Amino acid sequence: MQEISTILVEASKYLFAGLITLYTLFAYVGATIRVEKKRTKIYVFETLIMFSIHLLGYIILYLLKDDFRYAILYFVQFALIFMTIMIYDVLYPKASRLLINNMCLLLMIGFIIIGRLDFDRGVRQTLITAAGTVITFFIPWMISKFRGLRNLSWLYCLIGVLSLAGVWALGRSVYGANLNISIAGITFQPSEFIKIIFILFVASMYNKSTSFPRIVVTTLLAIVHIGILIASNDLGTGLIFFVVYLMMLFVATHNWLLLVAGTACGAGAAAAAIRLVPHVTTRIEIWKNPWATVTGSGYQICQSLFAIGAGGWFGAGLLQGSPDKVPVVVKDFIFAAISEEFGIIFGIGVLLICLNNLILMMNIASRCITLFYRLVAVGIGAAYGFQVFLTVGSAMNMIPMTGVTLPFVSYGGSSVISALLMFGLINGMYNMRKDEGEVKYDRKKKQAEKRTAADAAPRRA
Amino acid sequence: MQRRGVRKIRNRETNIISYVFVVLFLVMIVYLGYFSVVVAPSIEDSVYNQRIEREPVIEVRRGSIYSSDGAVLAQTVLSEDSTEEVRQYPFGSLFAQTVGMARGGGSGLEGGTDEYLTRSTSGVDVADPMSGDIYEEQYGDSVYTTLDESLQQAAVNQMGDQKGAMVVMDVSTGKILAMVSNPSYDPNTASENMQDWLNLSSTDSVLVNRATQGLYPPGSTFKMVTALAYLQQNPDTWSDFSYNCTGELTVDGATTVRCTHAHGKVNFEMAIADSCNCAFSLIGLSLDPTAYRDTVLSLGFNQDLDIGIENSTPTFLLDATSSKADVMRTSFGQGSTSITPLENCMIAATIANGGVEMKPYLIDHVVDSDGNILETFSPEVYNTPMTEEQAQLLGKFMRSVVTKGTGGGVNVQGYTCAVKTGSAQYDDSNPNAVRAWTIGFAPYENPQIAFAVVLEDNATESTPSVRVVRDFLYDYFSITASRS
Repeated sequence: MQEISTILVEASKYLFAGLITLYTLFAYVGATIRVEKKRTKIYVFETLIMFSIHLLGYIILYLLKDDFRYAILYFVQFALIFMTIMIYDVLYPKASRLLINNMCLLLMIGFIIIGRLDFDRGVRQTLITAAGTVITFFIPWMISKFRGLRNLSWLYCLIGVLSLAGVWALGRSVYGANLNISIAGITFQPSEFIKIIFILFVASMYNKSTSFPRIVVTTLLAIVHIGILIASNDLGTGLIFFVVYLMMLFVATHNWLLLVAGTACGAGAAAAAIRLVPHVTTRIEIWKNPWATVTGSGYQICQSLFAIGAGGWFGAGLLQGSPDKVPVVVKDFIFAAISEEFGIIFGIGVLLICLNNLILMMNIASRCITLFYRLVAVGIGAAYGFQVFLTVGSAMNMIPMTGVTLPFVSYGGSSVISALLMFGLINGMYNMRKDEGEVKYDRKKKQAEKRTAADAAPRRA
Repeated sequence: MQRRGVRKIRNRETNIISYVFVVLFLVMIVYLGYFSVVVAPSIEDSVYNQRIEREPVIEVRRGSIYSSDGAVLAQTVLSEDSTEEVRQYPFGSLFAQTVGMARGGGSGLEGGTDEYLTRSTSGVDVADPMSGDIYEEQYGDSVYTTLDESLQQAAVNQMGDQKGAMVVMDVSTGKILAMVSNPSYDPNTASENMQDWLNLSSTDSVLVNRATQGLYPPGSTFKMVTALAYLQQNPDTWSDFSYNCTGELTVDGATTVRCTHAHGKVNFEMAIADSCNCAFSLIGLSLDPTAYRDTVLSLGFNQDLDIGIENSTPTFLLDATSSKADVMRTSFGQGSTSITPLENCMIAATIANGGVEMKPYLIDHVVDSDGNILETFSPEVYNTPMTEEQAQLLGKFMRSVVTKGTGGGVNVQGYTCAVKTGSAQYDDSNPNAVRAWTIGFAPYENPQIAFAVVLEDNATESTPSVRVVRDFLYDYFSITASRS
């Protein structure tokens, strides 16, 4: 039995690498096929591969941990993912199956690694994912039902600024940053959700007009958001807000100059922050030479580097490494754990799947005719892509530590639910692509000419 | 065609964003590969990497140090809550500088025998109370010293709180039986007091082992060395030596040497017994300086000696070029000569041992944690600086010091011994301030032990050291009587 397990773990390293490589190939091929029916085969392959990865992972966990609870956890997770795919298929057949598959794969990779690190957290992650999935089932429906969402710009702004200010004022310090807030014993990270509110705010502002005064007002309000985040030491999220705003501004105005100027201003602000904000200065120092403080502030990043380095191309094998040596490994440094036990090839696979998500989201954005939807899609895509960049870049010390999570993979209710909400929004908008706008309701006659006009310049509705 | 153009415009911004992210992600992927191939191998051996399977650090419990009769001088025990190991010195300050301390690289025997105490040649399988895993607990080897607990106790008692040092050696083997350095310290309180000890001035230091590290002017005890040179250079005529001491001697109208009082007519034996400086100035001047120097060096001066603990090298600077004044002062133990109590004890032991100088040593044997003897140290001849006949003569003269000279204070009924006293000036501005020396051996007829005592504190004569020797010898003979 012992020997079989050893052989299985050794073989699984190459199986995992091979499976994710195959999956990645299918994901990119799928993204290039425009005809829906031709993608059906790809969906099937992808689904088979992701369930194989999940099954393989849990067989190893069950055998090596010799704990029957892993078998139960496996079936619960399998049922959850299977039902998610089925329900989307039935309720929203026009949602992006590619995106849903990617999401499910990332969730299942997270399930394996979190379950491996801590069974109880694995259970909690499963439950929170189940709850989040149920909530997100309603989002596409809500989007098609409540079209007034695009007119609530000031409400979004008010909620966003007040919540962030509330966190800043009341939040308790976690890892040097005021990120969490406890309500009735449940700790959650409001900035994860305000990210979405912020995207809705910017989208609704520019949906109305992109006149110069409006740009100024929106920019100032965006700066207020980011400023509070920086003041709360939530630097990673502040940076995400900045990038999201810049991308949305660019898409809304088609103006290169604004993009360049915005980037320049951001760089200037970052340079000032490095000098003036002690928390930022510290992180830059750690980034430059984590080894100088390997026993102190650089400990976490150095442990992460050891973890990634220990993995090599094919990883140490599931349960064969020591990712638990990295502090906060289940959250901000989950990528280090993946790299250590699944290897660099698998890690690159995960990165390419995340990039695939971004490309899919940008494709969806480009197909949205209503500017509001397009902006929301761009904002969500940018937020998602940049967050992946920040967390993975941090884990390998390519960029300074930012303290953000890997969406779907990292442990944490706020992280998972906000990621599910974002994908729900995207899918909701994608689901409406053929009955978008007022198609269902009126002016059917003008539909053809309007569509042509809409193609040239998205409508402001 | 027109539709195609429209589509292009529509996708421009989102495509640009996609490209930006493609670039960002490619940079990450390249960096990840670069890190894995180039950087990772260079960091994986870091001591901070807890992944590397290292040689398990086997905690060796430090071995013990024992006296020659098996009394524990130093041992490692678990603290009351069994969480940490504590080094314990059951005799407190008694063996302080000689046994030393294990902290900070080790001093004394703790430092000198560290390689034995920290290595383990046997282990015991024990179960970890938490996990139940069986692992081997390692106990370091232990060291049996030559130190005799009873004699050490006697020496320390008789030294009292007088500043100075005392060494007691076994004559025929060179085993060091007792070694005292005052003031002393209790190594068990080192964690609280170490800083205070380090702050003491060098003259008040408790950490320095005066017995091996203290360099003193030998004073009149050095007359035995000068006498040896005279015997060597005048083997047939030394007994013709005669001098009429008037209490002072002036040579070349410049250098004046004084005795404590006019000794009157002295022969060679009485020059030693009365410790006549004037007579020894003339003896010194009569010596061939090069041969004199050879005699002194043959006893161990200017030569490093490895005894396993910190020690200083006694120095002798006189040579053929030295002035008459230097020769005169040196011949009776003043001048620039400096000596450790250990070296002075070795000289006395050599005389007692028929001219054979034994190498002094402190470690008798090494045992593993089960008590099996691993290594035994045998007596070693260091040098043979004098003939047996010369040794006997010198011994007889030292006996005369007791029977008719300056060492009369030692002459107590019931035992015999031979000594040479000395009162060495160490402060030119205060000729009355002296280091009180007494070296010698006992019993005279059948020498067993040699000893050297030096007292630092403003004595004006050798009497206090004579008293220490007398009382110590009394104890010594009581102890040996009770043992036999």
